[in-house]
Amino acid sequence: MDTPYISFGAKPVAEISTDGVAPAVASAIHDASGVWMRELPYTPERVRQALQNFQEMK
Amino acid sequence: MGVNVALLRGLSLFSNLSESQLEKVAGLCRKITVYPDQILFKEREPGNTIFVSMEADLEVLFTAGDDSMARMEWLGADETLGTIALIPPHQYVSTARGLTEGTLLAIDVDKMQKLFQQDGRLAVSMIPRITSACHRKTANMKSEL
Repeated sequence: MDTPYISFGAKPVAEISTDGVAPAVASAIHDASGVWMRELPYTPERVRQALQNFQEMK
Repeated sequence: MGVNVALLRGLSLFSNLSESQLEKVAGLCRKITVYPDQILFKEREPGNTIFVSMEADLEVLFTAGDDSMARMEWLGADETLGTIALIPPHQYVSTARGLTEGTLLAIDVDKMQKLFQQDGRLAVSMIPRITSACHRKTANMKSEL
């Protein structure tokens, strides 16, 4: 997940237990489909569109 | 606020937790009842609560590209709903509606996040359970395309 508003794209570590949920879900989506979601929120419509785009590219 | 810790035992979301962790989570839970056709939460509303079905049957809907409502899945006992509220921008991305009368556990998202910050081990135990539902939904969606 890109973090454009922090220097070098660094990730805040102090709140890793809460900030970790979004990348964990992104990883789950990738594991199930091969698609990386890089924009929040992960809406069903966005995931479906990303899946369709991914399948068309294959 | 708070429920008996026995209600949490046997639910998949909490299956990795120790007894002391279960007690912490039980202190955040409310037991609620959902009725047929009752909207539990709506797509795009602020997400402030996570739900775990104890015996309620629900359907999950979302707005498809043409603004029609598409059914994403049916959920029953031991299923978790609304966990997307843990992720920024903390809003529901689907609508959950009751199909039968039944009970659920409701957990306040802010309190859950504070507990995650206080107890990283608890967060690490629960996050894989939370993501497994997302994994299943994505796999279902992929197979339907």
